[in-house]
Amino acid sequence: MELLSNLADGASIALSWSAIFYCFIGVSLGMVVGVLPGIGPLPAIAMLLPLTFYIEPSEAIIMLAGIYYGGQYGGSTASILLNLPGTPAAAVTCLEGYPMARNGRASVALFMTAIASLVGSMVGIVLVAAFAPVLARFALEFGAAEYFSLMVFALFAAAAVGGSDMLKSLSMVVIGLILGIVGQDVTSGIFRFTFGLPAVADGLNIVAVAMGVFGVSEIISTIAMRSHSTSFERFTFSTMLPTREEWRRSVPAMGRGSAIGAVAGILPGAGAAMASFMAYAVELRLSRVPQLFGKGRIEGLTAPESANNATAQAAFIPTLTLGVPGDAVMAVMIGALMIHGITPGPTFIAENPTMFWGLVVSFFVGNLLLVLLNIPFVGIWTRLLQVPYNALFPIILVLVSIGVYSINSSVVDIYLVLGFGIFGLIMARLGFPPAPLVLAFILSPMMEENFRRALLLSRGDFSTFVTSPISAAFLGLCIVGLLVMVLSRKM
Amino acid sequence: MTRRTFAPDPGGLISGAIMLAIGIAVTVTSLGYGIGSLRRMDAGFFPMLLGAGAILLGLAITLLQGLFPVRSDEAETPVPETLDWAERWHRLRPMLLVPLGIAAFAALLETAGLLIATFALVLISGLAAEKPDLRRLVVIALLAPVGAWVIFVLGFGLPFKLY
Repeated sequence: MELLSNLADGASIALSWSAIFYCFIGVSLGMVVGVLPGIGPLPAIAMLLPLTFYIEPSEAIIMLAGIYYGGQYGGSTASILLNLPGTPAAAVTCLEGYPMARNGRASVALFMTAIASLVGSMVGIVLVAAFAPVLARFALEFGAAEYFSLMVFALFAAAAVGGSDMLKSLSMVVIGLILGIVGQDVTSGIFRFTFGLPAVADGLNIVAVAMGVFGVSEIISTIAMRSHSTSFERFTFSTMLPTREEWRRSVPAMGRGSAIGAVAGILPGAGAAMASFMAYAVELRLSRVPQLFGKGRIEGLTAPESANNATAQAAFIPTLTLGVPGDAVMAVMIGALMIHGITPGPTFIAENPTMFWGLVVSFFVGNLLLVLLNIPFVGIWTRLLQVPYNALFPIILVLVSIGVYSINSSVVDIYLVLGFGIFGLIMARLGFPPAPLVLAFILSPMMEENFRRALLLSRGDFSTFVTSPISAAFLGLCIVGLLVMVLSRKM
Repeated sequence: MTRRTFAPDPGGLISGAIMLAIGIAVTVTSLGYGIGSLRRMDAGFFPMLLGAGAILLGLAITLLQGLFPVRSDEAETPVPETLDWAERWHRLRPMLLVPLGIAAFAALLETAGLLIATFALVLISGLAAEKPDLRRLVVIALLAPVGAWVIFVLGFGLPFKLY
């Protein structure tokens, strides 16, 4: 069995003490930032990014990945106990999780969330192990036109998911693409939009852009909202085990949720938030007692939890095999890999087999660590929620500023964080969502390169984008999506 | 029922204007880089397309959300929020102090060193909180540089000018 020998190779990397240590650091930090509202995995990854220069690339990616999926676990804790979603995907968890906590069933909710997360993750991991190498081989057939259309589709999907206002989401995609152009043009050597600044000749720093529009602008608006002093209800943590009836309803829900999450993870641009909303909607539709939803119905909790964790793992498939990230966090992850001199794409698995399989095995390790961290130590995580935000945010700002500076030892990058923070704040006030911008920013250079190459190969004939069936399919999906939206008057 | 009526909305107009300004600036700048032909594009071609896209989106937003926003008959017109000066100051303060703190960090980092820069960042940005607890803030501002030194310089050996 090829798969087993591959996994054995991976285990030799992921089961070393140092790899387990970095995996532990990653998932614990992911838990922390997931629990604390308004931070999220992105600043945490950006903060740790400069530190990964000093460790092995495989261990670096294991740690950064741990932050990402650890954040999904942590996000649900704050949702259940405080009705405060730590991550966007966790907003769905509030719907049933918080009522359950108020009914005195907080422990059951937390326990089942951990189990559902584990189930979803395992489905996602198996999918990554089985499907990623196949997709990579398939993606080797992709030419410039196919890549370009795939990225158009990813950005369109990100815009459609990113917010209710499609015009503004698409605007952020265009701004992100424009920001991605800044720097020296690889073909002609011309400096574009650099304003004579040598510091941005190689392009804007992805961490500076992402930390500005997500981190700094988020911190400012959180302080400006009056009450973030969390009123904390004392929940009893007596019985942790759900009833037989609750198990019976949860198990199929976890299966459905995992399936939905896995599909959403493979599609670039879809993301965990969409997966959990869909999983919740499916449970609501299938239920014979939909009127009980919103009052602490357990399948409405476990299905979305399985879904968002399956997505978090499956999202590594397009990220690693196509080089096309599914969401903003994955975009930063690609940036991190590139800093280590590794370019994700169809040849990634073939060229770095031990790194890829090591990462897959580390997913198993990380998820088991997360369950161990979650179930016995619920009390610690809830205490973390009581740290006042006023004491926390200056420290986050310090970590952000030092982190972004140390990537290139460039003061200009700190000013860029500042500028993008203010820009992100203004745009957020006007209703422009930040996530499509970051995704478009990372895709922009690849997109332009493939656009130019496709038209060079076809001698300037645009039909090259529709004569290839793969490319035509991606563009067709965008048009169908656009029509659906115009007809349902979402525009 | 929803319908569109001529009822200029400031948010929509500003949003449209921003996109139009970005689009025009990008298009004009890209023309300077050379367009080339479809067969052999110059550096300005792709940015010009994006600039054109931004202009189209800007026009659409100006029209559909700025000048003729959708009004739904059922939704009651939102009552405009009245803010007293204390509330306005409270909302404005983080927008001034957080950027100021980061700017101070950037200006001080390579001149006065990591310790002073971190101290300044914590102290200035910490004042952005609604009711800053000054004693706690000073304690954090004194501890943060030590923490930064231990983690980043001792722990990870990043090259920083300390003071």
